[in-house]
Amino acid sequence: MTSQTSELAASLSADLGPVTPLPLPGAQLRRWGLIGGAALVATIVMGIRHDWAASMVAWPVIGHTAVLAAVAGSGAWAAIRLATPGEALPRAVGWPLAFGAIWLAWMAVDVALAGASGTLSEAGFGWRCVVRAVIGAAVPGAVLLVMVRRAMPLMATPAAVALAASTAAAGGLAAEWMCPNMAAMHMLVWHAAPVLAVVVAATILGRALVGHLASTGRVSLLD
Amino acid sequence: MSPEQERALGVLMARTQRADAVACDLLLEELQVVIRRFVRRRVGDVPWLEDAVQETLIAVHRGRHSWNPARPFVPWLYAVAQSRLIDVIRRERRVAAREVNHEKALAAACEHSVEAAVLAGSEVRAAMTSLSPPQRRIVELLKLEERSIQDVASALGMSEGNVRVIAHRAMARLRRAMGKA
Repeated sequence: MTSQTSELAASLSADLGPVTPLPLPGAQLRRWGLIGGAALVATIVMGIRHDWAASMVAWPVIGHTAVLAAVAGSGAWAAIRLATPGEALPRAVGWPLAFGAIWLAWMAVDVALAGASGTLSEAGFGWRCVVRAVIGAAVPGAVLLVMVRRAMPLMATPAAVALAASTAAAGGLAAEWMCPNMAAMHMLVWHAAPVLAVVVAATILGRALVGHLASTGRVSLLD
Repeated sequence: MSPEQERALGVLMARTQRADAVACDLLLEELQVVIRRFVRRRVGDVPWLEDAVQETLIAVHRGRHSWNPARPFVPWLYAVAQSRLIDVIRRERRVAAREVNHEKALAAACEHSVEAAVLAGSEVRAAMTSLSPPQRRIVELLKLEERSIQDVASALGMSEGNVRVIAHRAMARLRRAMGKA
């Protein structure tokens, strides 16, 4: 057995090539912020809501933006750290989830306060908001996914959840700044629900999404 | 582990990242001892201890780019070892559960009449041709010669975990070939 392990070590040593060490998590986060942030801002600018000037001083829009930015940033930070062995424990995913829960609760409270006017018919058919969110989330999500997969996501599910929360929040930001409809039910159904759906899907598909060490391939080589 | 040893491992890993074969040999040699001690401290002298050591060595080799030399090496190593150990424990539990089921199935099969067994035997022989040579050899040793997994592993120069996995896959293929999937 031990001699087998020595043989394995020898074969690994024979299969050696130079590798470039991953940058530190802080440097990766800055890179994600620069590329993803620039792409998100560009997307928003191209389709910004017509009342953007008024929105910049409207408390609900500022509040939503702050919370979504917190989800996106803390989610990216958690995903990058969870993908690097020894950098974080699974509970690192708690921050983005906590900020996300605040955002969802805010939406739910708005719907409750809207009372009779907050009916489902008020939600309308907001497929454009979903498209805006997908376009807005595409680059930040892709950049983060590449970063996570290039690292070593041993804790695949928490890393995938953090990645999904960050990406979905970036999409939520795009929808927030491109859609002028501030009706509570519309926001809940077409802005918040898709974000929640993405996070739930990532929880279920976590290992398939980011896990590349589910199998080392050693057994299948022998079989 | 002493701070000097930790630093030495970090230096060897940094040189391994630059494809220094001598450093890689030394590192893997040192790591075998460190990982074996890590696994033994957590789960004791289990039969699949070497499986866990080997899985960790492979993961360290594959994921060596994910360690940054500006960070301490040992927390990175232990995180990898812990993750591989959990996976090996889960796999061993699954395999153990399946082995128990196979044993029950075998006991149930023994209750059948001799005539049925002869008929089934010819069916099994035909199905055996669908197996790859290593699978066939392992099934023959385990089921026909009734040797233990430990015996088979040492006879074929494989780890017990591998023998279990190959045997499981072979049995699944046999069932499919016999239309009992």
